[in-house]
Amino acid sequence: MILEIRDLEKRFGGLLAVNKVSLSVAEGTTHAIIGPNGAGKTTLFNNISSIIPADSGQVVWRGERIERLPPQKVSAKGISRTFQNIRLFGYMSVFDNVLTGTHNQYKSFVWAAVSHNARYRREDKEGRAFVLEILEKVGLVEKRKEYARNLSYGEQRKLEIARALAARPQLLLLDEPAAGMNTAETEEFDRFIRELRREGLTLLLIEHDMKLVMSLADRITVLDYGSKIAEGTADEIQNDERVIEAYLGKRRV
Amino acid sequence: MFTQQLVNGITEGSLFALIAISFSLVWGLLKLVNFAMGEIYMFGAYAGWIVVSYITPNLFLALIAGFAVGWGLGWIVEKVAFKALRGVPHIASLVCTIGFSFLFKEIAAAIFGAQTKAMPSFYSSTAIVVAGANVSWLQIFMVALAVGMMLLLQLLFYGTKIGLGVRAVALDYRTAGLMGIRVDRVTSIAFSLSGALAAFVGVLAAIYYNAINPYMGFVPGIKGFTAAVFGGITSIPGAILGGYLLGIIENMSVQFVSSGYKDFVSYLLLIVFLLFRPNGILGKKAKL
Amino acid sequence: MISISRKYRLVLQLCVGLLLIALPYLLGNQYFVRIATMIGIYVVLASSLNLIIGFTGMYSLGHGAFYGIGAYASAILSLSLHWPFWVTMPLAGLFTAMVGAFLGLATLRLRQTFLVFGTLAFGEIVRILIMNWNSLTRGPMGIPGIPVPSLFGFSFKNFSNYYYLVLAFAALVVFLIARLYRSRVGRAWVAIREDEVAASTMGVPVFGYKVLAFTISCLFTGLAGAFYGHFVRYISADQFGMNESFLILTMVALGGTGSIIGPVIGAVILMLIPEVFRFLAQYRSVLYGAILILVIVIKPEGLAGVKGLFVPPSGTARFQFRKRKIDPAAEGQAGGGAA
Repeated sequence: MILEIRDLEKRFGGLLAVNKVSLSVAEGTTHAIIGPNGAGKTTLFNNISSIIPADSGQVVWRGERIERLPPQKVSAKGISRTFQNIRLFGYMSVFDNVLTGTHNQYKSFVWAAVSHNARYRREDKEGRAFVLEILEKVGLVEKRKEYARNLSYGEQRKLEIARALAARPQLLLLDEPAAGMNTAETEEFDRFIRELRREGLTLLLIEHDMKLVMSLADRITVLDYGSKIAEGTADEIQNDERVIEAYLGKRRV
Repeated sequence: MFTQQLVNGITEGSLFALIAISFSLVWGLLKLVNFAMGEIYMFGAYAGWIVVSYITPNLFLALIAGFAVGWGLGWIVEKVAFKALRGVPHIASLVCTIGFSFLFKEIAAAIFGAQTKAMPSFYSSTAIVVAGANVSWLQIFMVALAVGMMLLLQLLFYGTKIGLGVRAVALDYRTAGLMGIRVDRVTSIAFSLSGALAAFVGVLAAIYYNAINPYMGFVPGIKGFTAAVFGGITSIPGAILGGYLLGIIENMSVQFVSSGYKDFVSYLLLIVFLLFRPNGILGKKAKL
Repeated sequence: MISISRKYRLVLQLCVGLLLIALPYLLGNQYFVRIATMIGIYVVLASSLNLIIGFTGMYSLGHGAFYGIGAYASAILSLSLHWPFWVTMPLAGLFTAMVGAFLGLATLRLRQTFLVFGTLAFGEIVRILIMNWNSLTRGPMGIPGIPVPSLFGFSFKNFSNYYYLVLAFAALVVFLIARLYRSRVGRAWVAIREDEVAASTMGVPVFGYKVLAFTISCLFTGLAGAFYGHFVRYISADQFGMNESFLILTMVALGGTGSIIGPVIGAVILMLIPEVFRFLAQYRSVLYGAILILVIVIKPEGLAGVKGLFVPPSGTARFQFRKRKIDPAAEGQAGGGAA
């Protein structure tokens, strides 16, 4: 288990957003988190990446507890994420957005920056080559000089993933990556994710597109009102009474 | 000595309290700070001075003139620095009001000249002596006026429809709008009111310190803000508490440090509170 | 701003460089050379304030104070220890950087509005300290007779000579800032300005980088203060108050935040205004306030600035009301658009 979440809890005033949620993600797998809106899925992601730390519980990464680490250290451990409402660096070029994603891998600091010493030149060259690679992979090379905010919605989503990939993560948290995509785009996305999986990336995915989830996920966790109500394979989840109830309401007798 | 400082502190505190209320009002509604508040105070002082020196030495007329001038200036600042900048991050509005602060200062200097002018004094004779401290009629009058103004505001916010509107918008502007409250108008009125209050204090201050110059607004502005932060910028009772506490502490501190450092105490308090207790003494409290 | 292709940019830079070097001879008049020198100093001041404002999105109103700290530090060291300018100037810069680091560590966690007041209060505290600490700073009397720098017998007393000194200094600072901007450090700063939260998930230690920007900014500002002190040879606390902080802020705001050339333009324009607008007499100062207001409302990023500072962060709904009732559905769509 590469990532284990144990009894995570988060309150916002009177609202219990995450209620003693536990789940485990196996390395190399694609694990999906689904649930109605407001179920606490994004809050869970925020807890993992530490931008909103949980009130209690543990987040264990490769055996190490990381729930009290600041976000930049969580990122350094190998966990990258995207955001539900796209948080790109709008007035930065596409290229620079992704280049910023490589921040963790390099060490050039003030002296390197002003002196353009050997380290600077090496890291700059490597970084730029790597970014070009990623941009080719997601198909954004032509637009690399554009301001990120000028991209289309679909392109922005791709860019966010590209930026997250630039950190060479071991675990990628994707928050509704396919939101707003049409059928063709979703299929392309499906292929893209499979490609990433083939490269050994572990994925934790929040999604509403059931077809995508059922197609990609090795394991699915279902949240409702902050609590885990079911967990299992795609087949198991599809037939689970509680899941059906949460999404569709109680079956009338 | 001690009681004298206390008396002075309460008097000055009344002024700080009113300015603090101005800041609190704007912050509560818009989560914004009007950096030019001190300069509106200054124009109020000049308005009062003009009335008293050229029209008629009537204090109440001076106060009304100040109030009106402040109302107008508050209205202008709201339209330019806030309304025109809706949707833009708050920092832009703040910087814009910084621009207003300097604009007002220099306009006043250009029109009235940079020299300090004297204000005819009123009621400055000693009224009573309490525990070794001389309390002048003016001081009593000022505190009474300030308290009176606070009571009026209380009446306004809790007894009138407009006041209800202000409180509603401060709590949740979206819902207030949905309930039919004209948020734009409420905001504009509250902003003008905050300016009017500041200018009102300006007239009082001009009489109390017997000096007017274009740069007199800077320090009271900062101190008013400090007082608001001190007591809790989200609430009016907090602003009042902060104002009086600041006035008293500042005046008492003259015992321990030389008078050159008097302002220093306020700045230090401001930094300390911003760092350690930005919600003020009363803590986070919805506007009451 | 007009974008110029690479080749032409180099030629342009060369021309400007030559022009600047030839300037004292072109101007002839010592008075104008003095102004040009002051412009050079303000270029450094504005550029360093831009590091804080334009690159990290934090606003500081205390820069006048750091300018003063640098000036006073160098002056005091020169006069009491008789150390040469070449020693006191870097020391003054380092000292100012240290003070900046402390202030940054203490205040950079504050939200923007409060940071402005925090830095403002700090500036005032410094000014009061300088005014009252008579034994160290001669209080309100200021420090006269600050020595002129000299190098192996070559004195910089001549205005033209000092101009070249400042020119070299300003060029170096702008060069360093440009290099920083285009590096990993600069990208981290811009990322912080654009979206702090996202930046932190990329591994950028946001607070640390903010303090770094503040410290480096104060280093340059302190150095500028030293150059100023040894140029005008008399300094006093009232030269470094709110008015100064405001002037530098307006330079950055007008010239353009977040770009390299912006502060340079701002410094040039705002230093030339008193000269060009002499006919306005006492109404000249009114211009500064008006300029700041107009810039913020009309073109918030300044003449040559980079957008991104005054744009609503993604996902924020706007406070948007007209005379009609709000439509909650429409409001959701409206959020996130350009201001």
